[in-house]
Amino acid sequence: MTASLAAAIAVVRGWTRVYTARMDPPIRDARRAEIESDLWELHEDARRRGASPTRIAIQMGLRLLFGIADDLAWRAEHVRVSTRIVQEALWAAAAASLIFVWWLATSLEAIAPHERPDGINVLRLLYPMRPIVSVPPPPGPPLEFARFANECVLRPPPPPPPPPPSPPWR
Amino acid sequence: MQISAYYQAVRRKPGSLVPLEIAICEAAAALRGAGHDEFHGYEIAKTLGDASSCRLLTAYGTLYRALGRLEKMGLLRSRWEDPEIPARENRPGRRLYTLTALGDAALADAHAATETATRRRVRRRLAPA
Repeated sequence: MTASLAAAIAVVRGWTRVYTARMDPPIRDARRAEIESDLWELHEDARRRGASPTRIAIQMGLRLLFGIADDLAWRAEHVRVSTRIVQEALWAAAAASLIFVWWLATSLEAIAPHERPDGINVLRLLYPMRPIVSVPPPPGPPLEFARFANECVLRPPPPPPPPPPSPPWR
Repeated sequence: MQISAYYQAVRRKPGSLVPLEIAICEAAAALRGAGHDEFHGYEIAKTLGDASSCRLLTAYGTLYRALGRLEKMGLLRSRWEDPEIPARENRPGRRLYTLTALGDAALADAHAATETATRRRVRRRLAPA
């Protein structure tokens, strides 16, 4: 047996072990035994017909390669999930949902603690992370307030700056 | 709970066969005609390869997945050969398949459906536009 043929057989065996790993023993062993039998039959048949070992190795490699998708699909068909795992997943999903709702409620409270709307603010519920900021009114005329001992004095605004001096060439 | 149970139900019409499955049933019928009532996977792959004059045999995954499907549908039956035989011949044990009566009927149905479809296609081509 040449190195290429030995390598091809090892690769097919290895791949079969990989995709049948952690399966029910009867199904796993049956598939492995069937592939093992096929490898032996192909090798013997090709040898009887006088095919070169390299050719047999190529045949094995290509048969493996073109069947990978079906191997994976076959494996997926035989995946069984126990009822206990499904129940645990459902409990975990329910707990995660409750935590999310609590987080959402506290986020809304943090965004607008003083606002107690009469109705539900739909926009806030839709976009809880982006507080809706109302547009501030335009600034009024500048006024300065100064507080002196309980009285408020309105000071006039400072005078506008003097116009720049006219250029000497005018 | 089987993950692919839903897939299996919706992927194909019940009772219909894909071309590879029809070819396997045909190969099984041909082998039976040649005196091999029981056959193993490699024999089927070789017969399929000879019939299609293709050098590359059907891939491992494709072949054995299809054989498993056919067995599940009841068109093939399988058994492992007596372990004494491979031990005596110094080779791995073979899984031997047999075409069932249901498989024969399914093959006849598939042929009839193909013939009807061909006749319809020819009639459509010959019909005046």
